[in-house]
Amino acid sequence: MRILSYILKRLVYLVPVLIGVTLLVFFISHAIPGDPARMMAGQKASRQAVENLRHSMGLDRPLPEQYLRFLWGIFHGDLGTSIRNQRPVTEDLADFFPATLELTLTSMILCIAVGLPLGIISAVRRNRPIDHISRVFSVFGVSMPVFWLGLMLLLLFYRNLGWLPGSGRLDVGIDPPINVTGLYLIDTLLEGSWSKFFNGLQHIILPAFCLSYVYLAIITRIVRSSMISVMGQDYITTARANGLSEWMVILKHSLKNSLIPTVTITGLSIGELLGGAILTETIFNWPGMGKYVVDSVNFLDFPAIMGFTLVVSFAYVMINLLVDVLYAFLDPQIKY
Amino acid sequence: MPSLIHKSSTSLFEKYRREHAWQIREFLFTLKLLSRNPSAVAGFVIITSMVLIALASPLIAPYNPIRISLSERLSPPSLTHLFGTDEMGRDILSRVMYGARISLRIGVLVIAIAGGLGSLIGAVAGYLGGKTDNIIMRVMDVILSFPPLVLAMAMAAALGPNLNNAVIAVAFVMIPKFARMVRGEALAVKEKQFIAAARASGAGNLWIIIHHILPNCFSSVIVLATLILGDTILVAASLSFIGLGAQPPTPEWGAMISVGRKFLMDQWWYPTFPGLFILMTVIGFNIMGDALRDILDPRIRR
Amino acid sequence: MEEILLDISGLSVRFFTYQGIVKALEDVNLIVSKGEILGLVGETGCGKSVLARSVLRLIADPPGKISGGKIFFKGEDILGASKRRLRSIRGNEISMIFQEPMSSLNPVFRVGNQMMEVVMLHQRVGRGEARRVCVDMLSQVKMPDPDAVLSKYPHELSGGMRQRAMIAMELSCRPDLLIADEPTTALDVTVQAQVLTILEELTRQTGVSVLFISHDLGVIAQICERVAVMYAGRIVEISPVRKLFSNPGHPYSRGLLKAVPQVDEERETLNVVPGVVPGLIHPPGGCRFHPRCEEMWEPCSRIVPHPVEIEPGHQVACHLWGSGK
Repeated sequence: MRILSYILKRLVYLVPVLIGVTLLVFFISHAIPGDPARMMAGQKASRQAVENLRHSMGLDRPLPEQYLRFLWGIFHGDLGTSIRNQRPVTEDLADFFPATLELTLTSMILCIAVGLPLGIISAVRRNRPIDHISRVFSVFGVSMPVFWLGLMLLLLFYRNLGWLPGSGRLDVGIDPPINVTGLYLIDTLLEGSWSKFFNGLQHIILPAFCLSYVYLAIITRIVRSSMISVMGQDYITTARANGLSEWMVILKHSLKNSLIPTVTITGLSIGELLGGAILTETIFNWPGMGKYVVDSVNFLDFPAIMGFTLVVSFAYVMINLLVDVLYAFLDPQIKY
Repeated sequence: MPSLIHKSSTSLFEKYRREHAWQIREFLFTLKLLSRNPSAVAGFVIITSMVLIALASPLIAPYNPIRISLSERLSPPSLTHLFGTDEMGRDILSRVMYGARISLRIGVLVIAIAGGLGSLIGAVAGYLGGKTDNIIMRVMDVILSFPPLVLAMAMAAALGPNLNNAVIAVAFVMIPKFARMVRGEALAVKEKQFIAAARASGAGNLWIIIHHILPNCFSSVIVLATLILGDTILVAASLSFIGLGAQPPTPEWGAMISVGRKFLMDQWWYPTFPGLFILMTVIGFNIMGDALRDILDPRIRR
Repeated sequence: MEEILLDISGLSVRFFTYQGIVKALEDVNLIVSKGEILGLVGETGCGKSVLARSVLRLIADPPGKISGGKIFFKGEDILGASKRRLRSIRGNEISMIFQEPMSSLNPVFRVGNQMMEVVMLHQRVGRGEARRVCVDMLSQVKMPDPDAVLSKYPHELSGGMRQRAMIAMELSCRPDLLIADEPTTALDVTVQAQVLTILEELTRQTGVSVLFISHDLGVIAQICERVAVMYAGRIVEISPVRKLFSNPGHPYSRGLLKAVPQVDEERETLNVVPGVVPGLIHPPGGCRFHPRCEEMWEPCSRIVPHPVEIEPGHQVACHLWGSGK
């Protein structure tokens, strides 16, 4: 199938990039001042223990060999051992991944559910009040310090209004649902526990909104500008001249054409969301990978930090590939 | 009667004016367009205010930002302390003002490094083309494969948590953005006649890059720099918030929020005001950058 | 006496722009009778497209506005019609084909999808029947392999095929009036001839009236029975095609005809009409052509000339023939 060969071609291009990513992470982790072996062993360990550890970790080998070991480890899912927890980093990340996934997905859904209609309305009602409001909203969005927004949201909705909880995925006394997907919102539904579902929903609203705000603003802007440029095209005049209602013109003929830049930006935003999650999870005490890495930073737990960096950038690269493929689906003029 | 003797003593200023007459005219035209554009004016006002605050803070700050006064700790905004005090009794308004110095300094440093290095790298890649271009751009792609904050965080953590390392980390992350853009412009410029002329007259590659390619990219670099400045301040503040940039008690906005977070519930003023300033500064740069980009768009310049 | 299909009287259209108010159409009077092919010829910028779009009220408002006049279609007031009625007329009783077939078809939908959409909208039939109608129309425009064309995207067809598909689409609901805005301008000469032949045949078969707009006198001569000449937003001459060529009344029409190079003529330079088309924010007073007219005299710059009938069916708006009224 042609699509398959297109995907394969893009994957091939990706390989050098992914290798580059591992190289960069490797270089960074070796820029660390201080002795990694001693840090692993702890301050109180004897010199011999440190040397043993150094040898067993392969830290006394020449650099290229260390890199190859590192690469080998990645292939086998071994990202080193967390200094803080003394557990494999891979296990740690796997534990915290579902929470981050849930937050990111919810934010994405929010972005699209609000950003798409808002962008369309702004384009159709150009230069009317709603357009001006959404443009101001956009400027605030791209300029917003996410961690500060989170704090302000907490201040308003948690402290002053008391409407929403301030931390965690569920209230303290509630047990988590049975682990099917790891996403509480889905698992609680599968379990049939409505009250848990609502509780989880309450807990996720603020962090999801906080995380999505920046990209909501960006998506609204992109949708607006691509809709405006699409609606100036000749084929839209044709559609109108054929007697189609304005709704059909907007929702069928215009929208599909403006989806292409929208999808691109949305896809790229997912990657950025992974970055923003770091700050949001910290503010809302959301037990995901982001909070994990911030805790690791405070502890100077380098294997964890580097492991996280590697995983997130791999995900980012994969998402970009997905966006490219989706692009090919949406635009019939792309030859693959 | 005009004396012929005066010709040889034409001032340097006059010579510069004549040689660069066209560029000067373009520049003044840009300024005129900017002054007509409401968002450009608004952005300019905000940025200038921040710069003034930053520069003048030692003079206008009501208190010494590190002056501790435990008896006044955590007091709410009042006439004596407009933004209230922190957990050591330090005046938050003064600290926020000094914070402007720090943030703007970080921004300028990062842009200078990333802009300078990035533009050079991009110009070299675009002008030399071929394999060099390929390799350089692949490297840039690799850097761009990381979400910016994540990469900056990894680097800052590895180098050590202090302000200078944060600057290096953020600059590193921003380099590819400049490189990409300048490369694109270099590709266009290198086909122009005067480049061939320069080469024919024996100019070396480096000379051409520095004296011909780069100046032509100048206006786009300025626009990009303005737009990226906002992002830079955000990333730097985020790093400090995580604990990787400025360390307390430095009155950096992000660091203040990081500490102030603990006091959010009962002393709302503590994290609120620094964050407000971050927001305003970044808004200023963003709308200024947007207006600049629109104005310099050749389609709009009639 | 033929039945009047489209009656445009006193139509004026203005565009409100930053630079000023563009008087794109001024007091335009035009009648299209049932079953006739009326040509509308004029230079780029004379307002032909604006006129065409006004009939279907496709002028974007802002910045455009129909500032005066009336348009009656089959006795019905178009300018006063409800949005709903207008939508049922568009594509159904009055259809329009445009100049650029590439940009006039939506690139992300298949041709069949776009064609069937129109049929299903106006004829209220299901997909199967709509498909049948479309295949039928496509074969009428001599499209090879109509079934395959339906599943193709616009960019997969050649320019001529796209234009034929557009013609098929717009005639699929059997409209009473077809407005063709420079349908062959963007095509190669050979393809142009094909499309014109198809158009001619179809209009004869179905009896649809056509308002054929072009800047090319040759094309107009080939397909139209009557022709209206437009200049700077006004109609300056209306006449049966033969009579226009043999006895052009307006100096502008004469200039246009002279400008067409003849095969047997020996020339070194083209016979152009001197001067340039005026800007329409501040158009010339009186007769808008007077600054370029070789035969301009006293009243031309002051008084707007009204059409005078110089022979049956042949009207000219020029002071040389009287001021009319």
